[in-house]
Amino acid sequence: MNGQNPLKEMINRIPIPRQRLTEVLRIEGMSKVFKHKNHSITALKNIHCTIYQGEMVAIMGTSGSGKSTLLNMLSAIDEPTEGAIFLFGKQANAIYQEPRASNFRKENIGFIFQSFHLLKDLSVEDNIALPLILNDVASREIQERVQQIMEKLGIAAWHKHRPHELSGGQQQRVAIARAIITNPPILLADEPTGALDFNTTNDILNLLVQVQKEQTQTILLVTHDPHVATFADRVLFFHDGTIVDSYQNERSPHDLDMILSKFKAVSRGEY
Amino acid sequence: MFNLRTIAFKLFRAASIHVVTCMSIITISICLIMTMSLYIYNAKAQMEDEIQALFGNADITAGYNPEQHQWLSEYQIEQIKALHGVESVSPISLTHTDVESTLDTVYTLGVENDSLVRSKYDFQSSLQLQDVILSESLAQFFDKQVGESIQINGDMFSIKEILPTMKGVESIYLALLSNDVVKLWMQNDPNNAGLFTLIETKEDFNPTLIAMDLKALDASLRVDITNEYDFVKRNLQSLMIFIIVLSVFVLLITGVLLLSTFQLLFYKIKEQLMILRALGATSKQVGHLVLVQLTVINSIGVMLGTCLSLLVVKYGLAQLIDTLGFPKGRLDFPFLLAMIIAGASFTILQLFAFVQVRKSMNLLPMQLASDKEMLTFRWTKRQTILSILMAGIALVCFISAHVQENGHGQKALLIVIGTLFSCSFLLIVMPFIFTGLLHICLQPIRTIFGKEAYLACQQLIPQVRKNIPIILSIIALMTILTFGSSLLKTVQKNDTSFIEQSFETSIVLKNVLNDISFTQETVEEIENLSSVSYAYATSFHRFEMQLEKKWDSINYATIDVEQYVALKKIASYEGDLSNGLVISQTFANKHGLKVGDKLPLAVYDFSTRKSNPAGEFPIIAITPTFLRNIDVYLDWSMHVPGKETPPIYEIMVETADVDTALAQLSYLQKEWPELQITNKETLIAESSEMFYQRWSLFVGVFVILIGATCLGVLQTLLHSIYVKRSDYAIQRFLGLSPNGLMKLILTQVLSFILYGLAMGTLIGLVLTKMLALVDREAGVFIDFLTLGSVSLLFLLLTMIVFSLQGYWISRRKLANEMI
Repeated sequence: MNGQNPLKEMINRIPIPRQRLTEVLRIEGMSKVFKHKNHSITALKNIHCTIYQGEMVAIMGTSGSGKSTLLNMLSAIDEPTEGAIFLFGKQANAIYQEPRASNFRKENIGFIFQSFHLLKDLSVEDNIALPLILNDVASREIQERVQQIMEKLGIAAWHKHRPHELSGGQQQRVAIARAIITNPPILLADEPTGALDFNTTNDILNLLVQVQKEQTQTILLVTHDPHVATFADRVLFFHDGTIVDSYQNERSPHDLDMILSKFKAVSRGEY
Repeated sequence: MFNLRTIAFKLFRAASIHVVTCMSIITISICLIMTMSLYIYNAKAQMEDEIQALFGNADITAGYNPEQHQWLSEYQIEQIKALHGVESVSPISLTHTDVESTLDTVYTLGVENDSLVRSKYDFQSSLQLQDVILSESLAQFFDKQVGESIQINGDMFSIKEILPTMKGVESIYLALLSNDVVKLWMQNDPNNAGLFTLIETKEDFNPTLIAMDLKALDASLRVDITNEYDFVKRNLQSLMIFIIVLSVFVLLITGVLLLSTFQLLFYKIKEQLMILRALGATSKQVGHLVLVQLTVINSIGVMLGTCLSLLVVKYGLAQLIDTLGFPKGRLDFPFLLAMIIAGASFTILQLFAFVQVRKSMNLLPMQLASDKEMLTFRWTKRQTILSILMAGIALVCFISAHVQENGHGQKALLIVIGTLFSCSFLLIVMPFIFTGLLHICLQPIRTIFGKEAYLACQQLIPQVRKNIPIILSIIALMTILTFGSSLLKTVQKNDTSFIEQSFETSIVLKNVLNDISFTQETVEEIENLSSVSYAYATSFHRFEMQLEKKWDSINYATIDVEQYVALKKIASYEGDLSNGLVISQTFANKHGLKVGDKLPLAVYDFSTRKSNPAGEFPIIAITPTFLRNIDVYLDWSMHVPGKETPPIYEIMVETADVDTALAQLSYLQKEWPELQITNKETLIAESSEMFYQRWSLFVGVFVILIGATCLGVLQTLLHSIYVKRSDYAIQRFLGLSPNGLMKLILTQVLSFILYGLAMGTLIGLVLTKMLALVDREAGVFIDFLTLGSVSLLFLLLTMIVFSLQGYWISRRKLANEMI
């Protein structure tokens, strides 16, 4: 939000030492090959990566580099050709088969989309309540938690409104509220600010950072905007389905330049 | 060509399937309406032709049998002409003559040259004294042609015309001569007019009344009413009304169905129209564009329907008529009538098109659309005014009908208006009650049916407005089905109970002209016939009765009490039959009467216009009502002072062998030609035949309508589910399992279908029950079996179709669905 407290913003940006954190997600040897009639496309190649609790990791790459494919694998939307993922050190077995895939997402994943993906027929509070309903949470508890999160994210005033009656930034806040209401171990965000203007982008990113700090929320964020990547603790650079580089943000003014130069190099294939 | 019309046609490409669906729906319904209407038109025309060919314009034939040796005098003819309701009269003489000394008993008629006799025997020429008209068979027998001479009764006559043999009628040897010639041969008094006379009655005048007057002129006259075609005539008339009502129903359902299909079509081209609006097209221009599209669809649909109907009438109808056992008719295709039906149907369908045109005119430019188009289903001031107005009018109508004591027609009209307004009120209010109920029931639904049902209903509420056309089609179908099937069942039940009530025995003889020569001796004569088990007579009249110190006019029946006791319809009686009354239990309860009570009677004298006391009579028995709602019964042996013994009206004849009894009873008709002999078996068979004809027609039409409605409704729902795929994908992404999603989709569509079915049935029941108030005495029978079967079929189809779609959507790759 524009009226964010500068001190709070600064505190939010202080990195947390990695060694103090627990491993939340580990990806081992993940590959994805899309097979067509005459040819096949390798979207992910042998990905190895570990994400820690409370860490915000940005994944940067050019279009078609495999960023969104990775998010699809992590949220069990799509099945990798090879490899495995580990949650809190335990291998997540057969999560790509229904109904395990649904349960896996329901219990472990919160997802924020670039185009919000809110149900247009439902009000703001109904949209936020959806994951709790699907998790069979009692009605009274749903009401309390929805109210709390709406107040926290500053959208309580619009609780009866339909998504189309809100601005893009407000809709994304609703989407964030929906994604975190179940306190999922991992929050995946696919270009969460791609459809927003600069100021709204900053508001949303500050909100994500706030959530990260206050709830020790692990966030994996896909973006191609270096400015967005500066809000993360760590940036992973993707090219042709592989992690080709990484950068640990230092919360200093030259982070943006560093990310930009690495991103340009990756885009040109210079790594 | 660059104009709005060509753009309208080009935009068809976006929704070619829906255009074809719309046209198919119209084609089917127009074909149905036109084929039914043309069939009934042809059947009616054919029946009129046949009646005309057989009887001409004559409605009554009156005269003497040859063995009576009596003639109708000129004076009698003048008297008949002067009777009220008689249009024209034509006396005819009849004898048998010798022709060419070869045939000696040729049926020879002496006729006048008027149009009445010409219509009867179908000849054109004007007969002079030396002219003769021969039947085709007689001319062929003597190999004679028009213009040649022929010898009849020793005199030579010139053949003026040869009558062609009528289709379906056996050709007889017949010669028509001038009446003056035949009268002379019969050595007749010149003042006599003929042996019998043809009588044409004025239009819509009951021939039976004239027949009664004729009997009053001379009781020995033989009077024949041309009523041989009564059953066919009655059947065709009621079939015609039924087909007209059914056609209106078909058009109504088609219209509502089109509303939902038009909406689908509109959805497909909506974005392009919004772009047009953004480019500067006015709402009027967009409206014009949509009007062009829908008019083209309606026109092509109506034209195709007419062509299809032409093919059906020419090549398939004969087979269908045979299968359904309908009255046979010609297979003509009257172009003018077809055009009138097509034009009227097109006009009605255009009204439905205008609804869509009006909607499309509200379309906003692209950038504004998303803000405005999602308006929720809200209760507006307009709806408040409308619903209060409708409920108010309905209430006023019902109260007025309730208060109205006289004027049955006015009361009926008030009830019909009240019913229509009540149904309209229900239609306005129900969607709000439905959504309100859904809101209230959301939590219980979650507790009882689970989260999927909860989510389904939660997401259903905002869709009610959008899906109103679909719901309306189901409501219209169910309302009409409820009303139609109940009406048919009621008619059938009432017919059967009327027959059961009228026919206490297998055969009933009705003395419709109240001929006083029909006496108890005749009843005894009938009873003595070998095939008859027993027979008894009944008559119906009125007298005045003092009840609770007030004189009242009462209908009573004169019956054979002993016979009814023997039949156990009256338990017993206490007292003298010739001096006592039998009353019904209801009557006794109503007036607090018991056996032994004496009731004062009086007889109304028409000449002095006042009631004369007839004495007090005791009640000798109280019995349940058993005879056509009559409450007071007298034995034939009882004489009410001042009242003549009433003529016998009905004779009930019981037999074990109906055919033999009918054959044995036929002698009575020679003596009393006006006597109506009917038997229960035939009447029940005729009644069932009429019922099954209508029922098969109703079923046939409804199979097509249900098919079309299912097609329209399921197609629209399939589409609305399909376009919500991304919403479903989000829910799947949030953790809804594929089976859960199937359950959600099924719950949503079933809720709509169930709502439509329940609402339609409810409105249908309200409509039927309220209209039944017009005639409180007639019971209403609801055909729950048909309603249940159709509802079940609808639900089953919905479950099958949407299980498949739900399975397909829920098993799609989520990555592809999340785009």
